[in-house]
Amino acid sequence: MEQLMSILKGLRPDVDFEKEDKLIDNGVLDSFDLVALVGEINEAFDVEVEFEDMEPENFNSVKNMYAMIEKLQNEV
Amino acid sequence: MNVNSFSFVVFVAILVLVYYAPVIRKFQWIVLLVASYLFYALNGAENMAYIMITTVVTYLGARLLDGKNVSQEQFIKEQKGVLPKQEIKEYKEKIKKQKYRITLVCIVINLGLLIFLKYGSFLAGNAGKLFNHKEWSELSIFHLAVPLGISYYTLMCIGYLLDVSKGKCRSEKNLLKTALFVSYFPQITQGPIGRFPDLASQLFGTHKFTYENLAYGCQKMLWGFFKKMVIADRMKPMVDTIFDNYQNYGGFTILLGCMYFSIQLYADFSGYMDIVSGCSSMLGIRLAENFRRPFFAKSLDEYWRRWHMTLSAWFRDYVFYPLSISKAAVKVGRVAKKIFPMRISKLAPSIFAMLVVWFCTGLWHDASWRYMFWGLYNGVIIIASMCLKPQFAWCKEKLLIKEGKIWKLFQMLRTFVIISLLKVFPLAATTGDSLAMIKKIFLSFPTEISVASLLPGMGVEDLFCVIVGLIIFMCISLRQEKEPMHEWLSRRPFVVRWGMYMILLLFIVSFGVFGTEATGGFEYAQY
Repeated sequence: MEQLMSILKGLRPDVDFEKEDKLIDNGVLDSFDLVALVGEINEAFDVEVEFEDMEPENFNSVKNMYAMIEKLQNEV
Repeated sequence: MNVNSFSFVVFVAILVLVYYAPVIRKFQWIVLLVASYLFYALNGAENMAYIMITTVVTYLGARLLDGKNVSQEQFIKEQKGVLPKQEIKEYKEKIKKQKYRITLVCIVINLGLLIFLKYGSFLAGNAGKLFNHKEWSELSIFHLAVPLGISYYTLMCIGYLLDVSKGKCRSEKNLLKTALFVSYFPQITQGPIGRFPDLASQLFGTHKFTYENLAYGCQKMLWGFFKKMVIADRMKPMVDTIFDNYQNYGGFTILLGCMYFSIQLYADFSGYMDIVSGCSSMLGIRLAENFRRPFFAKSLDEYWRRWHMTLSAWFRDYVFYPLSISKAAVKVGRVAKKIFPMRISKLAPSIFAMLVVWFCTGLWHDASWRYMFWGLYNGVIIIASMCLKPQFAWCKEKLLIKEGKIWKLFQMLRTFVIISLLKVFPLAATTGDSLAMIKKIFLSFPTEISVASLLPGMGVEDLFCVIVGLIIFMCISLRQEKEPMHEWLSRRPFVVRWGMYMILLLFIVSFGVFGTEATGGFEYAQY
């Protein structure tokens, strides 16, 4: 979770990721943030976030993002 | 055989009769394959070997990739809970590498054929200049005829291979069915660039004859013939007059010529799409939509989501997205973070991918520097509009501009002027001519305005046809923004519906330009 938080803070230091739980729905993160974020996540966590995974519910909060990463890591 | 020729109409009529014959039903896909290869042979039998090579390579590649997917699935099913997760992960990595190699080999062969046949002369010419061997460009091996539709079917095959590799669809077991997917005649000349998951069940399934399909197909074909023969072919002489002799015209006439060409090209390309899509609908196969009234776009970015949509979608799915989240893009983003403010640096991965996509889009159209400029020019405008978004919003606020119909109309006109200016690249014979035209547009102001400078090479009859044609075109496009035209038509009484068909048919017969040799075929067939 810390690693993810550090990526997010590096990308958007102006956002309080601990409190925000509607990052996509409220337009806090836009499509360019998402593209940059997915690239960083893929590299840092050795996963492959696909276009189909780029759903608002997967990126609305840090918790949801982490759940998606764990799911992709555990996929066998 | 051009799709706006009488022979094509006869070809389609015979095909429909054979296709729906009761004894044929089980073999409809074979009829389509024979018809597609016949159509291809009629347009240049000497080039059939290339499409066959691409088909076989794609078929074998897809079968191998599918085999790898199945093996992986079985292995995981059997070993889940038996082997440690790490070992299963390692196995998946191994399969991934094998799939990567298979995909790469197939893409290199397919793309290699395209590059050799379409770009060979351009590459040899430039390499010759670089190494002082001007004779390289003269070598006959680099001047082979470019096979019909190679730019389109190569992209379709690459998309199919990548889809199978990712497990998004299964491969086709029958080589001849793969051959039909690659060569399906309505989309072979100018697209649309179809996707295997959308087309497979339609191409290989059986279809019953329905009046709805026939009526819908005829409507679309009629509308396509109208756009091509009444609008595009009537405008062509004027556009040719301006650009064949651009040295004799002022900047304003050249700018007008660019706008005329935008309209001509749209009527030509979308007309073609309507004809082939209508023809395919008659056979019960719906092709992907390729145009959504692009001149209603309010930005260049939106324009490209409405124009040649299957090409834009192909580059988005198979180039832009994978590239924008790649390791290279992440590195670009990190470097940008050190140099630019956050607002710009976060755009860096997308900008990087976008520049590559636009460069490739330019190159896909033609092997020339002017098309590369054209592609990059598109990319730079879209990127600039992304980066300068807050500045535009600030200007809008300071100028007290409010959202409304007038503002929307202004945005549409602005987009139309931008895309028209971009036409100096495809219109010119050389890169030097493109740059000379741009110079004239911005530096050569008109001293007097006359009919000859506004509508050079345009006869009275042509002008009448184009004006009436464009009014009808505009009215129908406005209606299409609200709902599909065939749905609106289906609610009209029989007399009104058939009255409209007859008027359209009469208009085509009376004012359409007949004879493909007179117009030189379709503009996009050259790509």
